[in-house]
Amino acid sequence: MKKLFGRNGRQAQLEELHRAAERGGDLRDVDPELQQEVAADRQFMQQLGRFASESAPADPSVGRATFLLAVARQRSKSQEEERRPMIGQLLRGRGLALLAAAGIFAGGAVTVGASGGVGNAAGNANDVLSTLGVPHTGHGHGNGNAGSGGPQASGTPAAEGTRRAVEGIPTENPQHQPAAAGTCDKGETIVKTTPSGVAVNVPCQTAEDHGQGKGDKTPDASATPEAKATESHGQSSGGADHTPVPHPTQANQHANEGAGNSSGR
Amino acid sequence: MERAPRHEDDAAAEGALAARLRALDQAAWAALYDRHHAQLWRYSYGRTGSRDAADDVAAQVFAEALSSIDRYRYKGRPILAWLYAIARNLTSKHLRRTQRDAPGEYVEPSGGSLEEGLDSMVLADALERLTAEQREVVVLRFYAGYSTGEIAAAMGKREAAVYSLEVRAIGALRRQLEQSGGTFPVEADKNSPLPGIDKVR
Repeated sequence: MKKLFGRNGRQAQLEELHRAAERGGDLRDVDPELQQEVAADRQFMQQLGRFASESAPADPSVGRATFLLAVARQRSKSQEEERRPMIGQLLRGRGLALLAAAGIFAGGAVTVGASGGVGNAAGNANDVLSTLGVPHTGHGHGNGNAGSGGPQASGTPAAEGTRRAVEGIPTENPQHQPAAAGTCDKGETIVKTTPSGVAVNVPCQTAEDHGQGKGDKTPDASATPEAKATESHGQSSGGADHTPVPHPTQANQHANEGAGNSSGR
Repeated sequence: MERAPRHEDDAAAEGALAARLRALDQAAWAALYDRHHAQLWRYSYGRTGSRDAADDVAAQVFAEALSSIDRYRYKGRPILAWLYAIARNLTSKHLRRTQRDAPGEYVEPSGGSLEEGLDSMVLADALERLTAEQREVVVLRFYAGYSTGEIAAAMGKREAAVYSLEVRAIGALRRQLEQSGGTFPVEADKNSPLPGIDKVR
């Protein structure tokens, strides 16, 4: 502890002597050993300072010019970046519009039943994308369904309003055949095609009761020959001749057959 | 050489300079370069003993300062402290790389006279044996030529502490060179009075 204190004291004395030397003070009244050490240190400092001051960069002007060029370059770069946020805002706006388009697409898909098919949703999405000028080359689910989604898909106003026609998808069903206007005989079955293109067997009917099938259950009471046939029971042959057949529906046919059977018994 | 700020006016001027630097004002950067490049070059030269290394480090200090000026905020410490921190890191990195790639290998002095190169290497070698703080103080003081006040601000220490480090470092460095038998070719002018620490420039 004493030694440490002594060393610190010597160091403190050296520092004081250096300060005194800087101020130009007199060092004669101090320990000669310390005085000698301070003198050696100061001489060394002088040598060191002179040596260091003699070393200098070879040609600082070249490095300076290069550096200032870099400053100018960075400045122009940062000015470009200041302008970039405007474009960024536009990009963000476009991104939002794309999200809106996707939302409309999803909303349209959800309302398939209500708004007339998936094609309607696809049509809406295409419309938005076309308005935005977004190139839309993909044939996604919505477009595929638009083609095969039946007449509503191609015939809805939204689909027709699409500015860019969807190529490669027919808008009409080539297999669709409108109902024939001709007549057929009772009891025959003919093949008809539904608007969606499905072929079905249909029993032959008269033009007045075309495909309604109402007569099956609610035949026209006023024209039912069965009533008169009942009245003219036992006169089957004659009754059949007299019964007017204003509505020769299938119901009437059953009635007539029933009358015939009963009369036959 | 301009002094680092010690008064409020200087601090305000330093803050204004920092703002101009952030705005990439070319005149401000030119002033900063002119004020500190030679000192930082000498600092690196003193520590590495190589002119090439000093050229590289000094150039990199300003390049890094330029690239990171957006993140720099003036908080009362002089800009020199910021530059010094960059220079110290780059120099240390250079020394680590040199020692790793070629430990103990003789590096031919580049540029300057052969004597100067050898002396600088002898000094750099002796400096490496000092403590890190003593080495920093000696190089900043005698190579870079900064005042005790500037060094204190750069290192974040009190002036009295820096002065104490200076005195210890000088004594240790001198004794090291004497023990190794190295001669210091630059003779002190015996007719001139011994310089005060703040007068050695």
